Amino acid sequence: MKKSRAARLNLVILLLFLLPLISIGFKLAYYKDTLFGKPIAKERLVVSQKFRTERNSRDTTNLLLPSQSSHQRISNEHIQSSAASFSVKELNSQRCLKINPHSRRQAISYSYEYRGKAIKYELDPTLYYNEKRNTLLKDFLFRAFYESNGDQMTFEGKLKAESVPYRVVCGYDAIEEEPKLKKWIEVLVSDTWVPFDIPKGLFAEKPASYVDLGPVDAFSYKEPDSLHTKITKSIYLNPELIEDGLSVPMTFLFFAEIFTLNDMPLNILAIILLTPLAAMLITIFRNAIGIQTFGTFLPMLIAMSFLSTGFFLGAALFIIVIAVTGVFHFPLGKLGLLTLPKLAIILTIVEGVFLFLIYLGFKWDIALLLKTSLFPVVILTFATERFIKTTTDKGYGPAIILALKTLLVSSFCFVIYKSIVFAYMFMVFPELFFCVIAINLSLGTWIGLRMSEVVRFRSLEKA
Amino acid sequence: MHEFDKRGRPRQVFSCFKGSDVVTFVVLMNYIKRILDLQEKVIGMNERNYRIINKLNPQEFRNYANDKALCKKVLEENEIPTPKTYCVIEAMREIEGKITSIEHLDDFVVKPAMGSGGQGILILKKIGEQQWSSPSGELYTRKELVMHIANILFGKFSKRLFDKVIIEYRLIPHSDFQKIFKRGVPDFRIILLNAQPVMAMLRMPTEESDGKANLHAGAIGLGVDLETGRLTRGYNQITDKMVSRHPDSKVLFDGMKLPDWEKTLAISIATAKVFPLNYLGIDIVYDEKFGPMVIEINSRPGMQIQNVNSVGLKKVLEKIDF
Repeated sequence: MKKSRAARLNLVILLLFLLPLISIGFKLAYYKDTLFGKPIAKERLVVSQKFRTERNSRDTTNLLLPSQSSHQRISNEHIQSSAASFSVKELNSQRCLKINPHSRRQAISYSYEYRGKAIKYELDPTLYYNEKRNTLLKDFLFRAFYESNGDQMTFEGKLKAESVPYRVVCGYDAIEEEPKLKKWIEVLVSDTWVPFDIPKGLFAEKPASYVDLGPVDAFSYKEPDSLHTKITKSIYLNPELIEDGLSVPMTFLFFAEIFTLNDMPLNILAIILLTPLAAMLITIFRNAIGIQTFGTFLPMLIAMSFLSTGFFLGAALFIIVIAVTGVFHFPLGKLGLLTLPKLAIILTIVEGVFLFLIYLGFKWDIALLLKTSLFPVVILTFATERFIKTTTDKGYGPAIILALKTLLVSSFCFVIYKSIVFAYMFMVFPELFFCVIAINLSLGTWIGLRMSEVVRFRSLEKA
Repeated sequence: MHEFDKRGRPRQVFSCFKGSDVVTFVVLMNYIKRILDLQEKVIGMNERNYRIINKLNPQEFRNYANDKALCKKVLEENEIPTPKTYCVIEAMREIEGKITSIEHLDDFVVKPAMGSGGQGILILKKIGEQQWSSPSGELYTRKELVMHIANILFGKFSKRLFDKVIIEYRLIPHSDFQKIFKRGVPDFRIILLNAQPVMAMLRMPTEESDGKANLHAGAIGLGVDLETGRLTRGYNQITDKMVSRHPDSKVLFDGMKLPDWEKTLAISIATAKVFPLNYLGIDIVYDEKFGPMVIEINSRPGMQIQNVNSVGLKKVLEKIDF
């Protein structure tokens, strides 16, 4: 009975370990190109358009709006108008901004953030466009492409003559500072619209910078005269992030993409993803090596606070806090105060020290000291409390040793939090969480001696 | 392709391995083998928690061991000798009244119900009206006593927000133990599995431990032979050395016969039968007047007893149904 339970647990551990590996294998096989391909447009573009109507205009104006596709992501759309006589409509399955005639002059500004992905199609060379005449589509497109000498109308005419289904698509090239509406041609090749930009000489490809507004032949579309379009290559995702070198290529079709597209800072995502790993590390330190720390997962929190201060300032703050606590705890202990008020006094002093450090940072313009923000203060305050508890329990010597051990484990956790490799691994393969659970499960049933115990019981070797 | 070393000999094919690597490997394997051998004898924290405590001591009953007041109540109900409880203080408002009720006593012990490691225990002897002194000679006025009790109630000595205070009979160690060392109260720690004694030790205070019978604090642990009831060698945790004499009084205790060992064992077995915990560490003090008395039980007894007795627990436990 007992044995079968252990065997079942082992099976669960094995499965938890193997299934993610299998899934990772499949992902690697299927998305090889996306995973190892070129990263595309890391920056996001802000496209802002301003539009004015004339007073007492009679016409309805339609402004094409870009829509989400595999090529582009549109976020943070904002529409503002002086007079509310517009609406976002779908016209022939094409999003557009409909501006109604109004007696007053109105100004409308519309802006959005754009992130694009370059697309390049491989045309199937065995595909026919006309079976009777035995002509291959790829060959025909190639010929037509080069024979039109960069003239779009010629290309269009050739397609029309051979009755190949095509459409004209309009949009902007975001590389231009003040872009004009441009048009390119898309040919229908087995249910896919394949783009061709004849003047630019782009054969079956669309660069990441092409903001796709949609086909113009849905209704004859002309860019309004008074439209002013401006594209600013703005801000990276998160300035801190680039510093860390952490940026996920948009091509990762997985887990992390959704977060990055919705403006979640990657470093916060990384902290959330890596916390289970840090917790596992602490478990290994405690149960396999035998290094005790303040609290159970306090080293993890301390490591997190190091993220905002940087390691050296963080470690220095930790040591300062412990030292200040030690120095003031001793005389206060002699006064024979009740525990909680004594703790409160020490915490007040510690906060005072923090405040003083920030003051010094401002006074002498030391940028490093200004990193002492709220989060580290709160966490190190926890450490203070633990330190006092340990000194009353076991005395100063063991408490200081425990503080140093905590610092050691914290720095290992910090390495995990800082490591780009682990962050990427968990972003792309979140199923690794199951591996972490499997390792914790096996640690939970592991009954071997801790390394510290091997030393502690070494005299029993001969017994 | 032929390369030669300094002495003109042809280089080895596997130049990545040197002779010293093999030595390192052998040493490493030997070390791993030694750890595995040790593993066969000794029970470590992981094994204690996973295989013994989690399986044999159900969580819901561990409170008997955590709360000394509750433990003593059960012991008294079952007529197992335990130091007489004068009063239990559970709230601040009770302090004044309860101190008044014990004022007439010559001596008593104040201790937290949920403390650990001998912390917060105050042994007091009456020396005057509302004045007591501790064995180390510190003077306690009524105000200081109230302060101490309040500190206990606020959980200073236990890892909780609230605690209870027990005021009980002050034990006086048997003269045989006083021969070894006069200060403090030495106590037995007997480990029982399914109400069968497995291993025992006597914790003897020293000057370094400041009279506390706590191995962490510097008290020495003396091994006890369960069958003959004789002391064996002792172990000092601080210096990590085996000793045969008390470090302060220099009295030789190795081979000394313990008074009434059978009775002590019988009491420990009776105690184990009362509680629904299957793996227990029972602390017993041999009192001059009343003989062996149970002072507390532990549901998670430490593993240091293996070092004290120079025997690993694993083999001993496997003899018993485990």
